[in-house]
Amino acid sequence: MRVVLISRYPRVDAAGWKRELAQSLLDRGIDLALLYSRSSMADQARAGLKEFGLDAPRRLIAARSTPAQAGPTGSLAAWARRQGVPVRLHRRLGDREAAESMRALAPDLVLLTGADIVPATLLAIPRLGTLNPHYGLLPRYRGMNATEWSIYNDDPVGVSVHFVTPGIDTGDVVAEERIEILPGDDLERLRLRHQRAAARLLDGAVESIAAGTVSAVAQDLSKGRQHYRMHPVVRGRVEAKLAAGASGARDSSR
Amino acid sequence: MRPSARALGLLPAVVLGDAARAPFRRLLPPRYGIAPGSLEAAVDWLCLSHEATGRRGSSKGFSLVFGWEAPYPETTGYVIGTLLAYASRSGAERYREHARSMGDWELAIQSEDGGIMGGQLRGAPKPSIDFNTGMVLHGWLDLHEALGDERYLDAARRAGHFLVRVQDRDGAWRGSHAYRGIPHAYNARVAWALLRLAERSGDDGSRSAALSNLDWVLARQHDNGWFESCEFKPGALPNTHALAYTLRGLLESHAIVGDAAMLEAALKTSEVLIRKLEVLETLPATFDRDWTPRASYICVTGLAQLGGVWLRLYELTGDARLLNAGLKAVDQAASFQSRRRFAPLDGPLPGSVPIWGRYAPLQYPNWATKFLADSLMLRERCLAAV
Repeated sequence: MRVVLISRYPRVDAAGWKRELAQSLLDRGIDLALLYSRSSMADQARAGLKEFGLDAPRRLIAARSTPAQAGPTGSLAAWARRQGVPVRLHRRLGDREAAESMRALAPDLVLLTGADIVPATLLAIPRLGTLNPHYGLLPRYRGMNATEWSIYNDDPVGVSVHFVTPGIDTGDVVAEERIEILPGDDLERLRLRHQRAAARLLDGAVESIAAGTVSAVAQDLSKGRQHYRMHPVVRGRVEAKLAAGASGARDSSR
Repeated sequence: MRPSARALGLLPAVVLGDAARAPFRRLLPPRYGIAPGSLEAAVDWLCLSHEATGRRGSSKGFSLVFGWEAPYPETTGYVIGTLLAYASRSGAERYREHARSMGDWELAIQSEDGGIMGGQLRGAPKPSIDFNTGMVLHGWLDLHEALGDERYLDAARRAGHFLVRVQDRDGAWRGSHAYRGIPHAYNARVAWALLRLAERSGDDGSRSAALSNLDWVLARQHDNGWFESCEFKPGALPNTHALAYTLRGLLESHAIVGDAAMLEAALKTSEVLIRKLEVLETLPATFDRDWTPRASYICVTGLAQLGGVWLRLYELTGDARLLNAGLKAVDQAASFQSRRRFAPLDGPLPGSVPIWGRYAPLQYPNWATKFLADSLMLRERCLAAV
């Protein structure tokens, strides 16, 4: 089975959970490849500026010098090359060359690991579909900052893995896992636990799809809403809730 | 009007400043938060716009070509409510005095038919216009509520009777008392004023006229949230300013009469605009009927208003996504506030960003600053309750 991971910013894509996932897939004999968008230095510099403003250079240095983030082997792309895993670099997923790369890789399945929005032309290529790990419990929390919005509303937090459709987080769900909020948790700690859960769930989903035992559940979209990036003031309320011991105790309405 | 040398002298600096900032806005993350003194500067500028006319109405605004403009009856009407709200918040009597003086000026210029003229007061009075009358109606009702002076309620009743009298059977206003002769969905804001009048005076005719107009407005909404007849001029596209008028009229009318359809209509269009704000990182001034952006500039007035609309929708529904969107829109609008040492440019909001955009080009309209001040006060109220 050939699986392609789609990610972005190859020079700084160093999150440990992605390498854990890739290693696990290789260990199980999966034929793996990586396809990156926003691969140029200019793309990455622009993205860093847009995200962090003039603080971007300092944050980049800090991120690359933090062992938990960078790991002993640096970026996922560098690690993949050392493993002999094909890595394809592109400016944008919508570029014709990106579609040609994807066709040439002929994947059975695509996994999104922090990717840009994937155009329909790319979604049509993998034989078995495209999976995305979403840091929120579907169908209730679609879109951005789903963990934060769940905490704001006293709802459970967790990760859902779903097939990708042209809508935002609207595809059939193949796996989900709730994540317990522990005393002392902050958003960064929770994010790391979400990432590890995402790696586990994607790995399991690939296995069940390969075995033909996957069960995909259609979402009732009327039970959820699209969420957007949180304003810092609202996010501050979430951080205060966490500091005060939020537990996500209220049951999801699903 | 003759050009103002002082205003023209500032023009190059303002234009160059906008031109220089544009690339940074695209490259850097959005600026969140409100600069210290933003609200105070906005409200003080509104008072200055009153002084600039010799304490008649509030000037239509400050132009970088002509300087201070003549007083504008329509927008003076709704500036009154902003000043009264700020007077309550600050405890400073001078804002109430400005509001009272503006209200008295409106009493003096009320037409014999009970309506308020269109346009600026310059030369001979012009015919009464429905929307302008409705906006002054808001101001008189605010003054009656704050001061208990019956003169304002009497004038409001006469204005209400005018609006009922010139309304068409289908609930729209059109013809010689409508701006450019065509009906406007944004008259939902007039309907809101009539509902307020009915509440205060017990006038059933005002209530019926308002509900009739709101039915007409609701029928103008498409399934995708678009509103027909929301444009100012025949053949033009509605801008965010007019859309925000419509949504505010609907949601405030819902708050009074409890009709869920009005709230749902305001939410439906808001969902689309909020998505646009997220994806585009700002709101272009106009969209077409498929919500494709049709302007390369921001109508900052509309942005400030929509922020207020979403904050009010948050208050009515408790949906924090609306609080989130409202904060983003208000913060972005406030980031465009002019703060210069020259008093006419200390506190106002431009009509457009960049300043040469097609909505009130090279101007700081008084209503842009009024809506910024309103939304900043709403922002405070919402955050205090979170």
